[in-house]
Amino acid sequence: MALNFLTSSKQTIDVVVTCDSEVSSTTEQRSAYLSSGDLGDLGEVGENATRFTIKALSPSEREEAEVKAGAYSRSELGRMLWIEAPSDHSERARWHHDLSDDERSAMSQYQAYLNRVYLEMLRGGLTHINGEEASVEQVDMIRPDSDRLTVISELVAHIQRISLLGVEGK
Amino acid sequence: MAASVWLGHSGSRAWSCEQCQAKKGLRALRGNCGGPFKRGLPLAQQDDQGLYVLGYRVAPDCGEDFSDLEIRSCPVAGANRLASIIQAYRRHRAGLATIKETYPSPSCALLEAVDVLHSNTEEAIHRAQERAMKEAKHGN
Repeated sequence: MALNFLTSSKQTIDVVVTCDSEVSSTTEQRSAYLSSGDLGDLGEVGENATRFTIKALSPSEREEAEVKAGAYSRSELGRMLWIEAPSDHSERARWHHDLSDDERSAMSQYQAYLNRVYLEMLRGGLTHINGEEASVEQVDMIRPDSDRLTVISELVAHIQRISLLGVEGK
Repeated sequence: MAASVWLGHSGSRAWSCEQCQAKKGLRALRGNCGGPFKRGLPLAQQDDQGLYVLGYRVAPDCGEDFSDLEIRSCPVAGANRLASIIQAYRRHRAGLATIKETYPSPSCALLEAVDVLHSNTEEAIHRAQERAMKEAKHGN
């Protein structure tokens, strides 16, 4: 169940990422952990698992992240297409294949904007790694690249969960 | 959040803890105060995400938006978990303490919650006034 948000932008929580070699979990456990943030939902979490400390964003921090990422110059056509895109992978691929070059370009611009928003949200929300002050640049240095992307997407999912009310909260 | 307004507005017709206390087994069917609903819950419907009850079944005298909402866990338990925010909003409304005094560094979620509470409270007040006018018109 949702309702896992924080009321203060000064509050922090510690999270781990599921691609950490110290964490072993099933797909269901990963999904449950991402929506609850409760370590008990994960399988086994080793003592040496990397702990990321994150905070909830205040309205001004959230706005700042969006503006820095280019909220005023993002492609609105791309945004509209991104919302319209089918969720089924196969259907989505066929739908994307039928787009014009302009529409494909608009959609990729919007996707790039979203990626920038995620990085900016991480910049505003990540405070410490294993108890030491951290920056988004440290996360950007994680290799292999697949792990870097997993870490960014999971940390952003946690930051969004604690910063936003969510559907159930409403 | 919206449920806290409409449960109160619907009064005895809405879901409440007293119903679970009075009817054996109902609490378990309603997810034991916050868990997912269990099969056998009266008026529950099912989709790929599990069981849900429509908003108007939970709080019969509710607003339009809440009416079609798919409720997937007990809204009374949800409202209880959010009691501190609801109380802060009521104090703010009564002029006793501002939101900023209670929550000096609010998160986006807190402001969203207050927005949802405010719009639903206004709608509930408007609904009650409209009903009172209708009743007065018909001499009830």
